[in-house]
Amino acid sequence: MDKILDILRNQWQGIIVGVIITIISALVLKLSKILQWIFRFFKNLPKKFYKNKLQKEITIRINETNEEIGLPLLPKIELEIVDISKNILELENKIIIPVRKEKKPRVMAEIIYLSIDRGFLRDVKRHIGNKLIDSIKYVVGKSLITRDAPIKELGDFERETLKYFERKMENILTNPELGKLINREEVMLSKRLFKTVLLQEFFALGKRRLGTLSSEECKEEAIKFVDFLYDIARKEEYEKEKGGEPPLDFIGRYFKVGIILIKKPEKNSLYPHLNAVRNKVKKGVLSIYILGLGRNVKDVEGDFVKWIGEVSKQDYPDWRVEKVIKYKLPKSVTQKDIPGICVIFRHKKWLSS
Amino acid sequence: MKIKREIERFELIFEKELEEFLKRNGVYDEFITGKIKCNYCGKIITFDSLGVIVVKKGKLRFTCNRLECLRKVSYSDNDDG
Repeated sequence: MDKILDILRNQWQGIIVGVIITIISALVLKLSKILQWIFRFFKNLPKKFYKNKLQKEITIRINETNEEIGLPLLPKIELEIVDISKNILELENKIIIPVRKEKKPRVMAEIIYLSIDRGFLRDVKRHIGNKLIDSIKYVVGKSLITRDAPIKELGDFERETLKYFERKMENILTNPELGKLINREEVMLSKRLFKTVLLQEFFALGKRRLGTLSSEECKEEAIKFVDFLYDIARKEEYEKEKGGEPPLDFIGRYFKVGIILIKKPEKNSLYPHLNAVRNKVKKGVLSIYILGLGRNVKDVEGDFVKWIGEVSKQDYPDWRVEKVIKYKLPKSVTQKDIPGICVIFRHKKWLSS
Repeated sequence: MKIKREIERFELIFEKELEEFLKRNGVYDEFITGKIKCNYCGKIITFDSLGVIVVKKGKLRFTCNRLECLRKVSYSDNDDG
């Protein structure tokens, strides 16, 4: 009997020791997994910082541009770090960008390039042609990187990023025809006609031409439209050359745009501009861009917008004030910031005619 | 007028992991011996000239860092959305 009890006692002791060992091993295993996780976490921390910093820099710029234009022209960018332990199928269709930590500006330039390509330009590309697309890509990219600050005011990071971006676009920058287009677009950018008018109209063209084939006629008209806005942007120079004001309406087959420049700050001076709105509507434009600067901003923002709103309800039910964009002219143009305003009055067919 | 904003996702792979990533997917040896070519222009790709990698049907497609090739990536690939 004693022997049996001894055996049982020993067995129980064995079981208890076994259970304790199992618990300890489980704890050690768990602990090692926790330690591994902590190790991985700290190992990946610099990468996460890098990714977050890069994403922040890009997002700030893209949001600023979209806000300035008043349309989501550029996509929201989300960056992820590749987890190499995962199955490759989880990366299906993803674009993987190799990163060298010390080359943040280079990665930034690459992502900016890919982001511009994947925004509204995808829809409009075949309708305006490669030359115009490439020149726009450069001007938008440069504007995103520099945030429209003069080159001499850029920090080291922006300078480096711009350097990589320009290297990437070297073929474009050495092409004289493209150089001419870029030059024109940069003049327009300085006068707020590039983003506010040109990009918006290209965005709309992409939407309107959905499901249609590309045509040379459309591409040619797009170039003429650039020339039209360029002449307005360099108005004073144009007037000296031609002895008169540049045309302020463009009524083609693919673009139907009217521009109103409000310059005079005197009281009651807005009346002729109100008439101009009526005339442009009669002519058949689909968008009217009313641009004011300096002291005019208050008048335009107040009485003028109110008037257009009221009149459109009565006389032009298909029209509405789509956006009022307030901005400041870049410092590269003037020594101090000049407030500006752009009121966009649009026909409902703008995106679908 | 409410216009939906698109979202674009890019994956970043750091230099140290790139080698391991290529090994795990069985293309490292081909890569270092110059057998991997750009999906668009056909030029041999090195670590320096590598632009982006796109995964298509579980296979890696390499693109060099030339503008013409990157442009093709951005217009033709990753169009799942």
